[in-house]
Amino acid sequence: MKTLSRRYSLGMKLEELQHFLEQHEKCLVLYARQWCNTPEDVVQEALMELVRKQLDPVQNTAWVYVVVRNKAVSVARRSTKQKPMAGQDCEPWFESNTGDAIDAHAAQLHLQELDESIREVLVLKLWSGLSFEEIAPLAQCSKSEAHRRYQQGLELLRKKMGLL
Amino acid sequence: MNNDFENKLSALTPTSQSINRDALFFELGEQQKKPNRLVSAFLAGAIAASVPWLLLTQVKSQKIETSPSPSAPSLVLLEPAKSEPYSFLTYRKVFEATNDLPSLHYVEASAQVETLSDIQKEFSLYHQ
Repeated sequence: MKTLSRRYSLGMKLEELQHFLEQHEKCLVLYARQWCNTPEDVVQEALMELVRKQLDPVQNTAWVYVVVRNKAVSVARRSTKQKPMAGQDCEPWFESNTGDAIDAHAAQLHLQELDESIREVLVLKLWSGLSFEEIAPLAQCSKSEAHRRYQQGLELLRKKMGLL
Repeated sequence: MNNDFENKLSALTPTSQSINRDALFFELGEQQKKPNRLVSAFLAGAIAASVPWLLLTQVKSQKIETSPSPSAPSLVLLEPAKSEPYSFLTYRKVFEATNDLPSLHYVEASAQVETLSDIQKEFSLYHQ
C-alpha cells in the first residue's frame, strides 16, 4: 500500500511546551540579548515558529537557539546598522540577589567586555546548559574550539573579577 | 577551582520580562485543531480524473490559480514544496489575502490511500 500523505509534524503537548519554557525561556532571552535589545520579542517569535511547525521542543532545543540567534542578529543589523551590541545594553542581564556568591552587575560588565565569540559559548554552556556538541554549530566552530573558548572565557572572567 | 567558579556563575539567574505564554498556548491549540496532512501531486491528479464535476484549484509555490467559475466549488490541494511542506496555515493566510475564492474546501488525505474509490470516499466527506 502506497502512502500518499505524510505527517510533517511530530505534535507538541502543552506540558512539553510549559516544561521547555520553564527550562529555557530566560536563557533564550539572555542569549538573544547578546545581539539585540528586544530579546523578548525575538524569543517570542522563535517560539511561535516552533509551535507553528509543531516541533518537539525537547528534540529541537538547538534549533530554537539557532532561530533565536538568527533573528537577534537580524534585528540588530536592521535597527542600528552597527556592530551587534551587547556592551551597550543597559538592561540588567541577571537578577540581583544578596545571597549570590558573585555580584550580578559585575558579572554582566565583565561578560560584556569579552569577545563575542567567547561570550556566546559561556552563555550557552553556563546558563542554557547546552553541550559542546550542541554549542559548536551555534558558535560556528568545532566542538574542541567551543571547549577552548569556554575555558578561555572562564579564565578571563576569573582574572577580571580578581579571583585568580 | 574552575568548577566552583562555574557553579557560582551559573547560579546567577538571567532576567527576563515574561514572554506572552498565552499567545503561544493559544497558537498551540489552533495548530492542533488543524489537519496536518498533505495531498500529493499524484493524488491531486487522481482526484481531477475521478471527480470531473469539480473545478480544481491547485496551489503551487503559493501561486493560486483560481477557479474560472466563481459559483463553483473550489477544491484546494496542498502540495509539498521542495524540502519544506507548506502548512494549512500558510495557505489559509494566502487565501484570506486574496479573498476571491467563493467556496473553499480543504481536503485531507488519509494516511493510506490506494484506490480511486478511496480518494472519492475521502473527498466525499468534505463535499456533501
